[in-house]
Amino acid sequence: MNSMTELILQLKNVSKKYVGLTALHPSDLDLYSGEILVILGSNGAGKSTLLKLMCGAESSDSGEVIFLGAQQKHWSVATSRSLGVEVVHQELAVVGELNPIENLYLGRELVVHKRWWPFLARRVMRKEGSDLLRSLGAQLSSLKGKTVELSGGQRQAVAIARAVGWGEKLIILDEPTAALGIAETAEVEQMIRTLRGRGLAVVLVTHRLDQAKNLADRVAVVRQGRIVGNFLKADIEVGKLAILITGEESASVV
Amino acid sequence: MKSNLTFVEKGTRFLVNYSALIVLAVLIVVFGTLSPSAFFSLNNLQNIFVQASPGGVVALALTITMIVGEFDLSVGYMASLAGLLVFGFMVNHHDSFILSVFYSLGATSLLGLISGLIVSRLKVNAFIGTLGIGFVAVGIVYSFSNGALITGKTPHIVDTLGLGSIIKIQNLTLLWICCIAILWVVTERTPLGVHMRAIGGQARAAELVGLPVAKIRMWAFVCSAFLAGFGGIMLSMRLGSGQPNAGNGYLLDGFSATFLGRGFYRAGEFSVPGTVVGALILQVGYNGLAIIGMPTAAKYYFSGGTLVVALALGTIAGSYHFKLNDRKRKK
Amino acid sequence: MLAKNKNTRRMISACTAVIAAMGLSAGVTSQSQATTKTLGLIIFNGQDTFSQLAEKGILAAAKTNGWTVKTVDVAGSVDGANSAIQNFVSAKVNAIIATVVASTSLKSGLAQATKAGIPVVSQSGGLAPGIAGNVTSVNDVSNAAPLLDMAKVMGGKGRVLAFTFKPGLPCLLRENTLDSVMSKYPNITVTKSELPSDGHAAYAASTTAAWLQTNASYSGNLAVWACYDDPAVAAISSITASGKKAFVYGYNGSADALAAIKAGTMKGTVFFDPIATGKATFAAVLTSLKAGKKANLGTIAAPFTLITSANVATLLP
Repeated sequence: MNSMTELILQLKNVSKKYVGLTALHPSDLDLYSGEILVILGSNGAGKSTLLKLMCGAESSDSGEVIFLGAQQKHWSVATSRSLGVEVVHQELAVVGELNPIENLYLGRELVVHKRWWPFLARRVMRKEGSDLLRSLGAQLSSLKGKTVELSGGQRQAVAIARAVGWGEKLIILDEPTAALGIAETAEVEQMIRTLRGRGLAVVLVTHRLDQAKNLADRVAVVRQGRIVGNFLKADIEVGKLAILITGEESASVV
Repeated sequence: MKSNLTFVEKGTRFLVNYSALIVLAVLIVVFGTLSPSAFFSLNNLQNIFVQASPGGVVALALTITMIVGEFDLSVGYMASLAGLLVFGFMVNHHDSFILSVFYSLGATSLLGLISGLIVSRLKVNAFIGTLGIGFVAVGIVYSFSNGALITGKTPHIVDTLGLGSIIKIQNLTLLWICCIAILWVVTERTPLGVHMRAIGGQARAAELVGLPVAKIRMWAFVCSAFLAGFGGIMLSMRLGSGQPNAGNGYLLDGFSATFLGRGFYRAGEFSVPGTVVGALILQVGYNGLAIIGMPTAAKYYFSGGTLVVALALGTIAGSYHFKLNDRKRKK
Repeated sequence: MLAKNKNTRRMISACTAVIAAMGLSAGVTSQSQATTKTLGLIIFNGQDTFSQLAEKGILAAAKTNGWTVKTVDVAGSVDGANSAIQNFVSAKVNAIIATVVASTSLKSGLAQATKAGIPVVSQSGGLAPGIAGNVTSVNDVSNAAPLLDMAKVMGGKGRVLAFTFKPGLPCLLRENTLDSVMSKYPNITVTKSELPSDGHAAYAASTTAAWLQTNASYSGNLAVWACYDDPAVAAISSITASGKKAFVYGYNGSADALAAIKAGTMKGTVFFDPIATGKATFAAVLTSLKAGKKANLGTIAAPFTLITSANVATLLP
């Protein structure tokens, strides 16, 4: 971490209970700019609850959420988004029927006001959108065709680019490479590094240890609703992580 | 964006993207060859357009709901209702033309709002919800007129709109063109249009980026009912009377036109220009068959055939895009 | 630079294709001229027995006179009937017959036919500007005949279930006659039931069954009247099933109705000779052509007979 590092989001003593089930016990987590935090854990460990608390999709039962030093009493998706927090969802990141540019600007289209009705500023969006994609190193076969016609990696690139376009502070990626092949995964990982280079706080939720090792500046391991480990890059050991994830000494590490 | 496609692939892609247009061109050539003097007379070309106009507007109504991923089975009944009401207000209540149109469209829009609320807020299946509201519309028709047609003295403007023309283009056709232009701009050139297509494509994804999915869907139903009513009023201008069930048949033709439209403009998807081409295909077919004097059965073979072909083409267009891109990806 | 994007290009190509197709096919063929005269025939409801037979009459008369006939069944669509007239005008027919569809709803079609000087004769659709003549078996006398017979056999008191159908002009006129005739019989209670736009027979059967159920304890005279035979015949099965007795009346004298009268399950119908009506309609076409552009034949009555058990044998062997 360099000297420019800034504390973006603090979760203090946050927890979440659903009926008859504690999804997350009181936990603390800090997110810094220019840092990739990887959240590791098996299915049902509490990763997605943690993610929802970060972006405001769920409200915490306890504790507090502090964004850039200000306590957030009503931490909702709308609030977090207005403050520069974006989430790239695993499955529904982009609308296949729209073209990549339309996806980039979906819900926040640039318009030209022609007196009585806002018209799409198509040329400006295409120009700025393709610049953004290029700056992130994304290579798309077509900007005019449907997004569904792109490869999985390219679709994910569009989703990430959209998050970058609007998320000025914090980008949360939920299993962004789960459905991708080796080459495409590498492309997306490269994009994620670019985000760090831009000084954004990046949260990457994954269950892949190799990815954690490759990308993380810090790793938080979640198991059974608790954060059971929080390591800096230097301390990351794949074997140790695997044991923390599963809670078993004998866990095999791939 | 260089394409490395072979000639055959390019040809296939052309066929898929322009299938509806090709069908239209073939029909024109066939009927034009079989009966050139009658088919290509100015009068007949005017007829084709004016006959397509009221139903064409109703098909656009249907298209609006289809774009947002819903559908509206009440459009035909809404058209009948508005067409009957507008004459009812003019003839029985001696209201002015403008006021009668206002009341009629107000009535259908209100019913559309109810459909929209039922479908988007109460999450009732659109099939059931809109069919239910359609029957309500039929009920209103019968309580308003006892099922009889309404005819009588009407303001002059009714004849002007129904029968008149400006520079060889019939007024009803001009109204259709206005609807097309406005809807094309809204669906293709405004943020709302992109949002509608996003909702029709993947409603959940649209919701995640914060689009007001339920609200847009609800207004789509209002818009659909308004347009269907407008088409019904155009129809009644054409008939010169308010008929209790005159617009009912527009539902099925509207569906055919909308699905045929998937073979043009946005291959595999619903669009305003696509629906217009679809409506013209149907009308050219009906007109051509009548002109060459084919027996009644032919019209039904044609209706059924085009619907099946339309669905097949739409599906082929959709799946073809995937195949093509598989190829692209592998390169 | 003309076509900046895919969609604009598609729009342009759409227009080009249509224009090209028009030009191409206009070029390859030449005009052909018909030597025989042609009649455009619009059938409003081809599933109706009377319409089918009237069509036969028209076709037969046309054949005798050396005419060819182009037929369009618009399946109950008034919009379709207007389009059909316009298409016939384009196809340059010599005359047009429109059956059953209300002439007052043919405004844009009639406007074009008038402009082109092509006479339109209606069969049972009523008169309207642009209609050269209306051949109809539906008139006050024939409409009233079964109603008067019904009132007589009921002895002037009882309950009547009446099936009406306002979108069809003959039915509407008969309903008017029903109202005026029944107003003279205060002891007869009339329950009206409007037939839906399709599925008349099924609707009539179920409605009759329900009506008989509500009158299960009523011991006076019951009757079912329908503005044409099909619903009346459909009602018979429900009456038989209920075990009650009811007088059934209809119009048109369809084969089913005549058989039912012979069997004693139906009381009466008005018989119009559909083939003779069809022939009379075609004759009206010839008359109007002779009369020229200003032809106005008005209403032309077709003959009728009230059929009951007394005279059904004259029609059925």
